[in-house]
This record gives sequence, C-alpha cells and structure tokens, in this order.
Amino acid sequence: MSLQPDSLKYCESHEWVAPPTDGSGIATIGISAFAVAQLNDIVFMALPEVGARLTAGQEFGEVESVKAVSPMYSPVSGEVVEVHSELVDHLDRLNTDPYEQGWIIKVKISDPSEFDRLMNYADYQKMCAEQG
Amino acid sequence: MAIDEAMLAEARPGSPITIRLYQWDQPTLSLGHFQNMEQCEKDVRISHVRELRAIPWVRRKTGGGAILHDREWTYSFVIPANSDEASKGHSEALYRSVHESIRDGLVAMGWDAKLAEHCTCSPINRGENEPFLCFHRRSPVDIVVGESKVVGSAQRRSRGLLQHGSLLVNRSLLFPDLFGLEGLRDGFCDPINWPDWLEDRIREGLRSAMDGVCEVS
Repeated sequence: MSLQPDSLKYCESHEWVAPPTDGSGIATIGISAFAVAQLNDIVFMALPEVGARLTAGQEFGEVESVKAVSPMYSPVSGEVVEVHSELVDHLDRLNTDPYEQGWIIKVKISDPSEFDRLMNYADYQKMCAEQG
Repeated sequence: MAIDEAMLAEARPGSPITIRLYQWDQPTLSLGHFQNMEQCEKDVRISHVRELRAIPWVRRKTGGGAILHDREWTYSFVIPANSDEASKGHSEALYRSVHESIRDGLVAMGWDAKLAEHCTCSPINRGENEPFLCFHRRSPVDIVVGESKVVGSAQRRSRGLLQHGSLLVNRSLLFPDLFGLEGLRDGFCDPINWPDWLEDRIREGLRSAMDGVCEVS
C-alpha cells in the first residue's frame, strides 16, 4: 500500500479516506497531518470493533491530546472490516507517517457516491491554510 | 456534568455560549475520559489511595486527570458548533485565554499566580506515567501559585466545544496533599464570592479569545 496525500479525499473534520482502487470496495481511513499537528501530543486513542456499521459523519473513535478529547468522524458509510489496534500503542506513528503507518480503520463502503461529497487534496489544503 | 454533556450535544450554530459554575452535593472524584480507578492505585504520588477509592466517582466526557470535587468550584462552558474557535485548530487558545484572565484576577487580589509553562504529558509514555490526579499534573497553561496548581481545565472538542475546569479554593479534609488558594496566601483573606468572580473572569477570557465577538448566556 502506498498512499500519497494528493490521492486521498478529506472531510472538514480532518479525516482522510483512501478510495478503493482494487475493486475490493474497502476504503482506508485516517486523520490528516494537519490534524495531528493541531492536536499536538496525542496520548490516547479509542477505536471501534470490527463489524461496526458506520454512516458518513458518524463518530467512529476518539483521541485525547493535551487534555482534550476529540471524536473522529467517518468520511463514508459502511462496515468496519479492519482496525489498526497496534496503533494505539504506537501513537507516535501518527506524527511520523499519518497516511500509511498511521492508518486507523478499513471500511467496506456501502455508497461509493459519498466520495464525491468529500474534498480533494487541493481544496483541503486551502481549508487548512484558512484555519492555520 | 451530565448537563454539560447535554448542552454540548444540543448546542446549535448561532446559539450563545453557555457558562455554568457549580459545586457538588458530596465530595466526588471526576475521572478524565480515558481514566479508570485502577490507575489511582498505581500512582505512587498518592498517599491516601484508600480514602480516594472510598469516594464516589464519575467519568467526564473531557480529557485530563482526575479531580476531587471538594472545597472547589467547577466551571464549564460550551461553545456551539460551527464557531471557528470550537474547531480543532483553535481550541488551545481558549485554555490560555481563559486561564490568563483567571490568573490576572488572582494577581490583582494578591496571589502570586502564574501559568505553569511546562508539561508532564508525553505521547511516548501514552500518559501511563502521568499523575492520576489533575492537580498533580502540569500543562503549560495550568495556573500555579508557587509550586501548587490551583486551576486546571480540560476539553471535549466535537462539532462544538466543552471546557471543564476546577478552581481549588481550599484544602480538602479527605485529601490534604493539595493546597487550595485560601491556604496559599499569607495573612487575612477577604471573603470572595468565587462563582461570580470566576464567571466574570471566564467571560473576559472568552471575549479576549473570540475577538470580543461573543454572546454569553
């Protein structure tokens, strides 16, 4: 797997999703480098169970940083098929590589048209520049 | 605290910021969102583990360490969804602005209060070596008088933002290791209407953080 930031889709709440490219219908989800930088030191992460059903915009987990708990929102609808549970013990990977080693969950998507409602990299960068 | 959570869930774009000040019917521990009581027993800094374990406890929606709500004032405020300041990028400024306002008020009353400007947290240890109690921890914007922390706060950032905080007024008889403000100043301490005073300082801090543009109820 090789994920480049400019090949991903983004939501306003700073999660990224890699649309499936192999016909599997499985999308990978994480949080962006901008979010990791803004959250500063992430010390805890709570993740969903495999099999959980998500709808786009629904909370799928939580992170704690500098005494602040922030939910993570799913960019797409579908069923969680894999959870990166090892990440919980290696949260520094979010700092070093949020787009590959820092992936969080994989979801079997139920509505591919949802990708059209998400931002591409250029639009997301623009939004971050406005917030930064 | 359930009311605070409901306020966060119900906050709609355009609704005013809501501030609450409260105390507890009986001494109670509130745990940070990711904490459990087993961490209390592992913390070698705590000399009164048995006493703490006997106290009723709740778990907050906000992060950080456990707080013993006894002879303290708890505050909360909720900034509604879609406020720029409630988004992930800007909420740290709220800690600082509100705490600077409280610090300034304490200094004006004669306390030698400052921001801690250093941190006990680290992503490397995943918080496992962090003190169990909020008032044993230090983050850069905590308010300290001498070596004693007297104000700490924590947040939940969703589509709106909830900030909880605690102002330690006096030493708890159940857990005397922590000093309160009134035990940290030499000489006579005039009676202070803490809830009114604290609300005023929080309003001032929010106005400063949000560029003067905020409606507060």
